[in-house]
Amino acid sequence: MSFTIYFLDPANWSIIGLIVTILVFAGYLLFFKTNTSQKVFMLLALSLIYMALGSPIGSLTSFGLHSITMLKQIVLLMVAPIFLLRAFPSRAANEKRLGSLYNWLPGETMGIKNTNYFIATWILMSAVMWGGHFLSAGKLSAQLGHAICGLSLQSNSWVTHVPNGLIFSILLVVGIIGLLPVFHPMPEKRLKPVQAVAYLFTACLVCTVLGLYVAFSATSAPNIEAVPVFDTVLSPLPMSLRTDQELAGMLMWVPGCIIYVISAVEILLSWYNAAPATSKKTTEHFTV
Amino acid sequence: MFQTTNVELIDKLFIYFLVVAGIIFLLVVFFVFYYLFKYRRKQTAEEPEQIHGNEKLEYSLTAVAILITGIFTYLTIDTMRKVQDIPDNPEPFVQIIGHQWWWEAQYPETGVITANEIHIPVGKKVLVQLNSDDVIHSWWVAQLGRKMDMIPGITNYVWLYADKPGEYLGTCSEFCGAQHAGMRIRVIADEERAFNSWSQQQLEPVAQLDDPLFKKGEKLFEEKTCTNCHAINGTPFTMKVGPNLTHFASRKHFLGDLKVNNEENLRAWLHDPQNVKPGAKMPNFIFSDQEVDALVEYINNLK
Amino acid sequence: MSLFINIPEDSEQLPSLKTGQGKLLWIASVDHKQIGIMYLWLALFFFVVGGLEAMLIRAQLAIPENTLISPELYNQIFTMHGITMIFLVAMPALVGFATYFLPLMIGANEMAFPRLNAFGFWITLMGGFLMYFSFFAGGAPNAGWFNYVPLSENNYSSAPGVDYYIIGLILTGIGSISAALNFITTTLTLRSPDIKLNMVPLFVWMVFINGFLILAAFPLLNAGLFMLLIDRQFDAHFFIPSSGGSAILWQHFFWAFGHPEVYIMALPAFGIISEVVPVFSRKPIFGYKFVAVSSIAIALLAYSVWLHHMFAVGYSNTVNSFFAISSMLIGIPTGLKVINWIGTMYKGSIQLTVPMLFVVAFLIDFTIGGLSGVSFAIVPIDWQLTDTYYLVAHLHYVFVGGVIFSIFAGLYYWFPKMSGRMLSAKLGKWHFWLFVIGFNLTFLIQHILGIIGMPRRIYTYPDLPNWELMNVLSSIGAVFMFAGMVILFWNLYTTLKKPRSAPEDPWDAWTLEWHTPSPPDLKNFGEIPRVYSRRPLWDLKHPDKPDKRLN
Repeated sequence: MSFTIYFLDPANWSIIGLIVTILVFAGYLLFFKTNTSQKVFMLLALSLIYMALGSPIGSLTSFGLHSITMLKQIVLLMVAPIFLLRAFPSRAANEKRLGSLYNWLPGETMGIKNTNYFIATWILMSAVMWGGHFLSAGKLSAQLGHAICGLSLQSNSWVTHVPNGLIFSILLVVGIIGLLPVFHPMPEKRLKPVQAVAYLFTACLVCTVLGLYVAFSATSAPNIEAVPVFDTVLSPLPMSLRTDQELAGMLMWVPGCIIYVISAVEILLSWYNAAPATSKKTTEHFTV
Repeated sequence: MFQTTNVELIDKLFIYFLVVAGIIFLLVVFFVFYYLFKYRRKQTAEEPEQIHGNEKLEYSLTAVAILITGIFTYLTIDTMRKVQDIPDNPEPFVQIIGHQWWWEAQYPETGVITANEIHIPVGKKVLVQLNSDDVIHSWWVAQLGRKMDMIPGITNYVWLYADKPGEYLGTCSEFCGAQHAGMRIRVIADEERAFNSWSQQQLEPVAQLDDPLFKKGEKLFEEKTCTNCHAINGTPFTMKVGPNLTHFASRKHFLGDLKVNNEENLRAWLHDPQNVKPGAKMPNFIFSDQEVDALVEYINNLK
Repeated sequence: MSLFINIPEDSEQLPSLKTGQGKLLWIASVDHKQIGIMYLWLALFFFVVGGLEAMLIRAQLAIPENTLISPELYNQIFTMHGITMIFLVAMPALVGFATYFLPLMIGANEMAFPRLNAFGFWITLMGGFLMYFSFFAGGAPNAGWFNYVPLSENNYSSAPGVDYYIIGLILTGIGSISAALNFITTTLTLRSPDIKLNMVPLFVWMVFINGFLILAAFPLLNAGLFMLLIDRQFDAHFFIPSSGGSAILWQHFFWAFGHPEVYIMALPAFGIISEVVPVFSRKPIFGYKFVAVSSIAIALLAYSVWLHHMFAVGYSNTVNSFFAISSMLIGIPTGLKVINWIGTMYKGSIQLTVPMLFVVAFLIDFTIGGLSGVSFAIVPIDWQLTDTYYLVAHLHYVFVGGVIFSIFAGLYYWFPKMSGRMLSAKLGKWHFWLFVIGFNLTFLIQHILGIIGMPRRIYTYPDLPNWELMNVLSSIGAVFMFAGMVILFWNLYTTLKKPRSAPEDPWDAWTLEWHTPSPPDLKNFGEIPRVYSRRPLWDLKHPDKPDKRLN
């Protein structure tokens, strides 16, 4: 089964998913007043989520490809939330509809004060990044009966009872919460630019360490090469277990980091563009 | 059958790189000198117009750079997969083990064990397994294939391909101690038949002569504890610390390809190894001239 | 929300040579200007030592099968040459400039932690001396500056040289970390109230970013060094594969530090270039924000490229592909900087002073180094050319053509401010031409040597066709560089003997350090002019057409 045939086979595309996606997009268009770039971001976010969950690429997981679970996690936790948050208009244009909605979104005004709030979102995002990875790896291992990324679980393990839908929703929601301090639709609720870069950079370290761990533990697992596994080799993207695990780790690491680097660069560029605040200078010199 | 070899693939990629890098470099040189001459300070020292930048230029040049990066990423990955396509269950033609500072070669198919001069057949891609016995070494014969490190505890594989018979020189490419420079490689590519007869010859039992000097040398070889490091096939002495000497005289060079294998060099080596190859692991046994005569007679007849 | 509090300035007078005449004040002083100058002297001293080592290397390699230097000694010399030039020359010189000028450029009177500043200097100095003491204690480190295991383990390097390497580098590493902490804190807390963080001079910005790079990179090195020390002193097995350790774990630690280290040296050097080009082109820097932001991109990406030092280790194509991508990507922000420096010259009014000459040489030679660097990101090319003289040429084009040329540019540019005297331009031009021609003669040809197969770190080589010719040319180039350095020293010596005569602002520059006397008083600023843009002195000199106001 070649990848192209597999990819183009309509049976592998989720019709319900497509309908839901279109409905959500239509609802978005009807409900909010948005400009073109915001619409594009929404479309991008929705199609990414659909590609991750409803397309043939998403269902590659049934062949035991750990790298695809990792790809899903990156999309849901790290990429789609950025696009989603960008897709929402600023408050001013949609005062009537958005006032209450945005108040509901967590932000500095939520009551948890200042630094603690940002540390909390950061920890939540990092914890879900690691936890989500191990949960999906464990589920995959329980389904397939061999070790995935060092985890080897019985087929009756409790993790098999965790529905995929729950995992995906947690990833997406936590992704949004974790990126709110940087991409909040209301600029005044965001971190200051340099702090936002620090926030992103430290988050980048978390995904780096996870990626490192997954990619380089592939070489040290003793029998990972010796046992060719039917599923991964029979999949439309045939690869050995070791390649699969290395790919998973490297995906989390390099593209994961590049997402954060690009965001950081963009934030700083707009910081340099920012117009000066109204000034109040009179004297020529002041003494220090 | 016409086939692009790995080395040609890499060379082609290098040419692509040179062309693109050359163009970029010439552009930089051109603009630096053009501006330097055009905008040299005039006598009228008036400040020039204060230009702060041009965003469009920055973004479009970044886009161009990303495009070039994309092309080279594709070429890199494509070439990489062609050059390093090691099968899942590799069956090496020869295993090469790096030692401080010489090479050991074992041919699993025939059981031949040799040192330093590595023979391969011509016109055939041979898979080589690389290991190290002590520190990290690196295998590199530029005309036959890529460079690959030999790391203790890790097994690496690399393809070698020689399209015509001859001797190919290489060198250890990872710093490995005092005699890193004295760890050169000589790969001898033979026609299939010549290679087979070489293999046959290497499998022959150790030479025996009735010459008394030879006998004395053989005895000295054992008494002077040479056998604590060097193996001779067909004797009880199988230590693999130093090179296997069963067919030493059939090699044209010795000491990690540092010296031509002749009586004079061998004599100098036995007299004072540290003088010939400073830092080498062979101790100075302070042989007398007569002992050296006997040992040389013995070793030089191990064909 | 603020993550830090502002530190009040010390009210009492801190010790400095300028407050008394006691000889002990050389050690007791915490004056950032004096410590900056001492850093520069330290760098200059070790530049002589490391340079002499380089001359020995070139003498040994001038002819094939040379027996001038024994292999054991040669290995010690090339190891110490690498360590010296990186940790005891390039870094101290750049830290010295930053220690001297960072407070001056942001309108501060001192560093945030003056005593930590002195501590950083002295511990760097002690680390350097300790490493050199090894020559008298049984042999210098001889396993290369990269010190790969298992070669550097007891089994293969039983002499104490490697232990001196470990302890020495831990000490200089602590010194660098304390300097980095100081730079970050000073930039965040001691800026003149007018200067917002997006208005600081580019040199300050790059030193600031560099601080974070150092803070994240050096602990990796020090962790690895401590593990190796435990291996060597307490017989642990972190890096010994025969008893369960890993031979490549060290490489990961070392290069996860080592690649950021390249940018730790390059970023402040870029900062110097970004100060010098505008002044001598009489125009503001082209694309300030792109130069500034690309530094951030470099700093972030610097941590995800280190495996390109290990492409020949045998990782799978999957892993290598990703590192190839990130290694190529990091070339983009660096290239963008070069474009902006050239853009600054566009429509300018260029004065070819000595600092500007070095900038021009930098632009050409650093471009060569950068481009040959990209060839190592292209994995199959790396498989052929890594660990050959092609790589030696590449790294010298980056470190000498990039970093050392910038340091020279900075030295000629800031010397009047630091000493109150102008260096002779005539001797400076001699230094420039000898050094730059010598440098290119030495290293350009090494690209070809590498391509035809000469591996690096060999103490001698066989007499193969053309090898001798190219090596002789390379060694002749080294003599030119040496002559250039002699002229620099003569220039420094004669200039320092003259009386102070430099005006406050000899180059008609625009940043705050030129608003103080040359050299500045112990207290840098009695009063700071109001700052409204990135070029405060431009606004003062041209009230009719000031820069766009930013605060």
